[in-house]
Amino acid sequence: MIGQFIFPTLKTLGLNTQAVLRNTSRQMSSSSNIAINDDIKVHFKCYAQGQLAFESQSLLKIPFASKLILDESNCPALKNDGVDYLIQVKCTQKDDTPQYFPQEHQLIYTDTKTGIWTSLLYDQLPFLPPGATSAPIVLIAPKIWISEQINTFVIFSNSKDSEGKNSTQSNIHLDVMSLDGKILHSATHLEKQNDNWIFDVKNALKNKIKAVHQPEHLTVVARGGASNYVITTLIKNERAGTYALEHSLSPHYYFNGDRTRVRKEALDFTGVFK
Amino acid sequence: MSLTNIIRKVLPTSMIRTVRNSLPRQFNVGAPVTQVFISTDQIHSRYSLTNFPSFFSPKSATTYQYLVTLFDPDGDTVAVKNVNVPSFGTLEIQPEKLFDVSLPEFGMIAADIQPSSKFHFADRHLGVIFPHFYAFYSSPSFESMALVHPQTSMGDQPTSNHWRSNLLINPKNLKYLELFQINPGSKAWETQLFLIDEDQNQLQESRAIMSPKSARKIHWEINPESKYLHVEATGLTGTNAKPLVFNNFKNGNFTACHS
Repeated sequence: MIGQFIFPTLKTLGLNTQAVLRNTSRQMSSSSNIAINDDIKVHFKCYAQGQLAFESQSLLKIPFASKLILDESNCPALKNDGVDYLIQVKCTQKDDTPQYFPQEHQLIYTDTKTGIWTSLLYDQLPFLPPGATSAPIVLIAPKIWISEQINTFVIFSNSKDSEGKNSTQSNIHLDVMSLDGKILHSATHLEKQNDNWIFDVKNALKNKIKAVHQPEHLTVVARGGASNYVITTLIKNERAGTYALEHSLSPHYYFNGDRTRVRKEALDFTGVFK
Repeated sequence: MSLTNIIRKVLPTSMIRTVRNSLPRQFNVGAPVTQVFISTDQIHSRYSLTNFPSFFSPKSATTYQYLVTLFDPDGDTVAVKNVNVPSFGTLEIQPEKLFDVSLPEFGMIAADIQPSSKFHFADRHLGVIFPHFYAFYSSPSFESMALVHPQTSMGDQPTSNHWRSNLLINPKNLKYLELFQINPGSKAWETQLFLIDEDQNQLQESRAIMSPKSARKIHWEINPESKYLHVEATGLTGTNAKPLVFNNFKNGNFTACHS
């Protein structure tokens, strides 16, 4: 069974990154989540600008009910070299069959000046079958705040299956919207495989709205892409060196109907939303 | 009894989805989604209610209405308010400004959604819609902040299972933890929370019987020399009703995340 945990380093935002990789049972209410008491084998790849820069040279293991901390001691991409990487960790349990297994892992970002950290748990992703194409994303991120002190970054981290049998690339179209639904800024990003796109909301709006003392709330909507995505939102108080961090909610959290039709209609909607 | 509940009682499960999908939108909405509410000198809450159906079904976009309900720590209703969110719009609510009543220091807040039109059929291909909304907690000066997605809905079923959080808390630089726990369900439930270190030593414990819709706050001083800490529970009030953990640093800042 396999899964992949992907995450961005955010050195260019003044943060050190640690990943706490876990091997635990999912102890929610479901009785079907029965623990498999096997080690998880870990292999990681680190990409800079979409190019493979490092990969693990020795097999790392996470014993059951334990953890493995990825940091600068065992992952060169987490050293303070000023370069941001997309890190893909392949976790294998029992055998290398393509069946997915769920496992939460933890990201910790620490401000290099203040020592204040923020943390986030999320599940590893499945690998796509060879030749398959990821469905495009439809992101609603009503969690943007900007002010004189505060900025928000929406971070798109994508991992294309390392088998390399599919080279489909696609644009992501992004809109920053006011609370009354007006588009304040639009951007189109050509997806680069195995890379991060760090979208700086305040910079995008610098000539369009004046950031004032009280934070202004905005929404980011993004559509497109053809890869496995982890999308996180980081709110930063640039004066205090403090942060808030959360992952996105994919569309199935909001509705349980026809996702194929919804995705098509959202992608085909070429007009401005309002 | 609401039409939705009558449908649930009368029809076989296999037919419920078909029937609900043929009715106007307001009969095909999931349970109200819940979050922790906090209003203290140190922590303010604001919430983001978005008209998500319009983004997922842009050709049939319409104004949606949220019904926002605030409960006090005992689970009693403090205030209820309807707010409209236009197509492709989002509404930021701050309970201190939304409600004209005295607010508790903490509690549970719930959001329900329905279209402003009683006969809105156009986005029925969305199936059941679920009014997820984000919480943004901050200090008054925004020097501390936390962004949290919802994890629970009204009527969630509690569990007696033992649960262990995957969140490891590094106590270095921390002074204390504050945990907020809500019971979104419809029955009182006994719950125990534990703070455990890496050697499986139990450092703290807190037990309560939580009334429906109630909330509680737990304050745990910690030793910064401790090894990594994590939270465990016996008896969660909902399937995913994991406590919200505020990490309070020595310098007065905080961060928070779901556990």
